Amino acid sequence: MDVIDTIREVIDEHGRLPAPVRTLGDRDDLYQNGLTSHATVNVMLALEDAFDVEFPESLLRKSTFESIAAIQEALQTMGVGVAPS
Amino acid sequence: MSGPGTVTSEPASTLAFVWDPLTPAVMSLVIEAREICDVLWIVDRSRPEVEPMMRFLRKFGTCLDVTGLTLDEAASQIAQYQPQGILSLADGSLLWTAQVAQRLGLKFMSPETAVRLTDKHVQREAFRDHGLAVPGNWIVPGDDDDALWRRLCDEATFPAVLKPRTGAASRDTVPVGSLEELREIWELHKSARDVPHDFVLEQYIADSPLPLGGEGFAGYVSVESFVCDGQVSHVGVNGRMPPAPPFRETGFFIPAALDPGLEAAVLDVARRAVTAMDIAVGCQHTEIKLTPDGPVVIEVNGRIGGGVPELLAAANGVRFMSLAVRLALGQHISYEELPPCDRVAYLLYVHAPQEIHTVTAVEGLSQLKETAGVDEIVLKRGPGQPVDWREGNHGYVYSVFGTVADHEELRHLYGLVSSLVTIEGE
Repeated sequence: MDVIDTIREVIDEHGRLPAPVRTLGDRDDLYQNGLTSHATVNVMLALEDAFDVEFPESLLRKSTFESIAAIQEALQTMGVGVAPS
Repeated sequence: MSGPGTVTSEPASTLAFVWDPLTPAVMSLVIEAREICDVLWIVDRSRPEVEPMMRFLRKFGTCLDVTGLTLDEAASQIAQYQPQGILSLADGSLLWTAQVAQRLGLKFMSPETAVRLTDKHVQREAFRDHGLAVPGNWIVPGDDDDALWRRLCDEATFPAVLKPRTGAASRDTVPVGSLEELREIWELHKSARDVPHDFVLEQYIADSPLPLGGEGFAGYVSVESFVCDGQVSHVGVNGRMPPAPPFRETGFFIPAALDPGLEAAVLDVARRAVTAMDIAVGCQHTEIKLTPDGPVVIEVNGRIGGGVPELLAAANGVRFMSLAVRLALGQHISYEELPPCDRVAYLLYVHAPQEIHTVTAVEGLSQLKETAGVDEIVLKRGPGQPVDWREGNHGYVYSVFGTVADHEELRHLYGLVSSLVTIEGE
């Protein structure tokens, strides 16, 4: 399963969105589609488990979780989905 | 006297923070607190949603589980960490925190003040004792208390408002036109679900025929304040959009659109109301109705209002969450004057009509997001999700946050919200 698929699965399980994540595009605004601040915390923790990473304080802001693409970009800064050089 | 926002004394090292599921602005709180001190999170796993949150809180400090402990036991456990301050930002935890603070000798509100800040009837008595204008207020008795019912029948005046004695956010709050209607509503309350708490009946303060809160805005405001060493400082006056029936908040904005004379009178009433609570230290959110006879206090809340830290930060740069932490740690902070705002920051809560029970569609949010001045939209109840007006302010369908240049732009934007976005339901 690739990074985007895993992010989608995590959001489906922990994001408590009213609609399935498959109906959303990678750049769609997750808050506008039902992601609350409390659910964001659960998504963040589940992402940490799924990718075996820890979000640094510098990434603990709303914009990190505003879209699937934004989450993917944040994970990349932690080395997730980056091919080893 | 200290200047605006002056901080004196060095930061202390450990703050005991009593976690509550209703603690506002989770992420900004933990980040702001972390910048200032080490945090000892006091958690009670018997409260909803605490267990998953503990893992998050542990990233920012130590979690101390006080589930099932007596006050003495909890205080003893907390004492081992030698905190310099203690803080709670939710109504439901104020009394517990005050009782523990008293045992630990930490500066917080007294248990008597915590009761005054969470029991509407006790609070109105304190206002009256301090010479503030207060609407009539009566406890709605249980069925078997004939004497109290007779007293209520003799004294109550209508129209009135029925509200939970210890509730917040306008939950279960309804207008009542007569004694007969009160009995009918009371029966409905009981049959709809178990009555979770005592109720009070309050005389309704009539709206002013003049738009005292600004043209198109509601006739009440809140004042965001804090007390340090007995001195009250105000950091913002928060205007309101007209409420949705029966009493659901639909929007807040800082600064309020008051003329300077009325603003001064509002600040004075807020200061007197907060003083009546006998608060040693902490933040307050005081709601005030604007009447032709002058501002009348509705209630004082002994915590930061929902959304207020974000509004203040965007309108006048005050970091209210950080300020609450610093106050709890014993730092001296004061503002001689209301901090000036260079923008109007707003937070709108858009509700479904009262008759809708399930949302079937919310259309137009993407177009609204493209509008200048709109920074963030959060959908809370999407298609298929239930809504219930009895939830009060928290039952909204979506929120809109942003900043605009002035109140005229805010009025324009508010109009756009209802024209661009439709909520459908059944």
